[in-house]
Amino acid sequence: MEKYRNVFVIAQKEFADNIWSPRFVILMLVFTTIVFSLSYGSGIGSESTISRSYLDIAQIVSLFLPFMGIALGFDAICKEREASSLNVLLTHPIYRDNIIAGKTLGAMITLVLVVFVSIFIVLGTMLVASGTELSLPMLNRLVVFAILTYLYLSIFLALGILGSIVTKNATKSLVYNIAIWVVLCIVFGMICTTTASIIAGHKPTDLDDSGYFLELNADIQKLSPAHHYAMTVSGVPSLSWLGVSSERSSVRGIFDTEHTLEQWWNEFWINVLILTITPVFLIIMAFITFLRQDISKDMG
Amino acid sequence: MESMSVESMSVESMSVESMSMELEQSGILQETDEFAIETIHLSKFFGKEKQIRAVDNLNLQVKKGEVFGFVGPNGAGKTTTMKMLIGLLEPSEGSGKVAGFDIVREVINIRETTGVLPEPAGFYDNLTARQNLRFYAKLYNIEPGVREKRIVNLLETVGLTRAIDQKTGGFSTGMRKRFGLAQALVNEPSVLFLDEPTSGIDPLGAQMMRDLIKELNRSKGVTVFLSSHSMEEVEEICDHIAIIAKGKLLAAGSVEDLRDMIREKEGVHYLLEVQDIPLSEAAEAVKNVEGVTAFDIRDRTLHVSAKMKLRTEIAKAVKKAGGTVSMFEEEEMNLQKLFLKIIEGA
Ligand SMILES: Nc1ncnc2c1ncn2[C@@H]1O[C@H](COP(=O)(O)OP(=O)(O)OP(=O)(O)O)[C@@H](O)[C@H]1O
Ligand SMILES: [Mg+2]
Repeated sequence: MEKYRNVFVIAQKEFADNIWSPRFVILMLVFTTIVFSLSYGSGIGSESTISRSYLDIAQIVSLFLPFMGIALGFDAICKEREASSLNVLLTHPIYRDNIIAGKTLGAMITLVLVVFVSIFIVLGTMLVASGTELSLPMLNRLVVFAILTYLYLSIFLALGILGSIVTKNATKSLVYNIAIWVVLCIVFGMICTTTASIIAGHKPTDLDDSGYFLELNADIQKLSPAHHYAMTVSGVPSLSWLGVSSERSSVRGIFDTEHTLEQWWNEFWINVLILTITPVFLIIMAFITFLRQDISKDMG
Repeated sequence: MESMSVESMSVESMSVESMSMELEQSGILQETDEFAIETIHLSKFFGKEKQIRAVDNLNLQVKKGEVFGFVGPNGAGKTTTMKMLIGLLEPSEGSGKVAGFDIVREVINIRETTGVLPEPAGFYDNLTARQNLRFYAKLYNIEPGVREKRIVNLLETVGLTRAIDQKTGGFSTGMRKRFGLAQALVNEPSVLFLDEPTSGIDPLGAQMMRDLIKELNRSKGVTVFLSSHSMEEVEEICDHIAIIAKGKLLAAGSVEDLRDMIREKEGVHYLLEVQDIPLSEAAEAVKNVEGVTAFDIRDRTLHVSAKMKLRTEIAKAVKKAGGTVSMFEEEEMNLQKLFLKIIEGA
C-alpha cells in the first residue's frame, strides 16, 4: 500500500487543479446551461416527454461532452514536460506508474463530478418544472444512463491522456484530440455513409438503399464509441450528423419504459461491454507508453 | 501510525546491527562507507550506434560532508551524470552508489535521502510557493504539523518568506533558483544535487546562492554535489573539484591538488622582499638553487620562477648569503586558466 500512497497525492492535486481551473469552470457552465434549458423545456410535459428530452440530452452528450473528457486529459503529461515540472517531480520518491495512475485517477474523479452534476441538474430542473415525482424505475434508468455516459466520456479522457503522453506539447495534443473527436462523434455518420457508398458503389441519389450498402454502413458505424453509446441510450445506431441510419432497435434505449431493464441488457450488453473495455484498454496503452518513454531514453 | 513507527524503528536498529557485523567482516564496506557518492566506470551513450558518448567511463568519489564541484563546458555530460546518480537515467555501463544505495536498483531509496535542484527546473505555477512545497512534502509522507513548519523555515532559509503565498508563476529567475533549492531540501536530505545552481542569475543573487550552499553544508553537514560552468565558483565553495569535458573526467582533486597541477605545468612563482643585503645579491644566491628557472627584480621585489615548490630551499639560500626574508609569497594562481587549458586540450 505504501508503494501506492503517492498515487493519491497526485490524484488529489490533479483533482484540485481541475476543478479550480477556469477552463473547467467555463466548460461546466456551458454544458449545464444546455442541459438545463433542454430539461426545463420538457419538464412541463408528462413522463413520456421526459424520456423524449433525455434523447435530446443524449445527443448533446454524445456529440459535445467528449470534449469535456478531452479537456480533462489532453495536457496531463505534456504540460508538465513543457514546464519542466516533471523534471522536478521525478527527483522525488515517486514511481513513474504512480504519476500516470494519479493523474488518471484525478481526472476520472473530476469526470464523475461532471456527469453527476449534470444529471442532478436535469433531475432537479424537471422535478421542479413539472411538479411531479420521479418514479423509482425512472431513477434506476437514470443511474444506468449516468454510468453509460461516464464510460463513454472516459474513453475520450483516456484518449486525451494518451495524446498528452505521445506529443511534445499541449497544443499538438489538443489538435490531435479535437480531430479525433470531430471524426468519431460529430461527422462519423457522414464518413460511414460516404465510405460505404464508395465501397458498395451506391450512388447517394439512389432512393432505394441497397441491403449491402446499409449493412456496410452499419458495420463501419460500430468503429466509433459514439455508436455504442447511441445504441445503449436511445437504440439508434448513430446520433451524429449527416448520416444514414438503418432501422433502430426494438428496444428504444435506456428510457424505453415499454421494455424492462433486463430486456435492455439482453439487447445491448455487447455495446455496454465495448464501452467498458475501450477506456480500460486506452488507459493501459497510456501506462505502457509512458513507462516505455523511460530512463534509458531520457524523455524526462 | 504508531505501530508503523515502532516497526520501522526495530527494522532500523536491526539493520544497524547487521551492518556493523558486516563491517567487521569486510574492510571494503568500511571504506565505501565514507563516500556519499561513488561511481565506477559510469557511462552513458546515446544514439542508435551509441555514438554519442555523453558520459564516458567516469570514476568519482565524493566524501560525506564535502562540497563537490563538477565543472565543465556545455555538453560536457554534467546533467547526464546527475540524472544517472538520481536514477532518472539508466547507465549504459558501469555502476554507482549514492548514500550507500545502488543507482539502478535502489532508486527510490536514493530519492528519499537526496535533494535535487535539476536544470531546467519547473514548478506548478498556478500554485503558491507554500502549496508547491506542501505537494512535494506530501510525497514523503511528512506529518502535517512538521511539514507546515518546515515549509515556513525552508522559505525563510532561501529568503522567500515574503513570497510564501505568491504563485511561483510570478517569480524571477533568481527567486525560482532559490525556490528550487527549498524544494530540494523538503525531505532534509543528506546529499544535495545542484545542477548549475547559479546559472542565469545576477552576481549578487549568485553570491547569495553560494553563501547559502556553504551555510547548508557547514550547519547541517549536507554533502553537496554541484555542477557549474565556472571554475571561479567551484573554487570558492568546493572542497573537491572534478573537471569534465566531452564526457571524460580530465582532472579531479582538491583545490590544492589542482594548484599542484598548475605548478607542475606552469611552474611556481614567488615574490620576495629581502633585508640586510641588496636584492641583486639575493638574486645571485637564489639563481644557484636547483630548479629555479628565472628571476627578475621589479618594484623592490624579487620575482622568482621555479619548476616546483622550492620555498624552503630559496629561503635557505637567501639566509646563507646573509639576507633576511621579510616577505615571501607565492603568486596567486588562476584555476580558471588551468580549466580553460585543460578543456581546450580535450
Ligand atoms: N536524450 C539525449 N539524447 C541524445 N543525446 C543526449 C541526450 N541527453 C544528452 N545528450 C548529449 O549528451 C551530451 C551531454 O549532455 P549534458 O546535458 O549532460 O551536458 P551538460 O554538461 O549538462 O551541459 P550544459 O552545461 O549545457 O547543461 C551532449 O552532447 C548532449 O547533446
Ligand atoms: Mg546541464
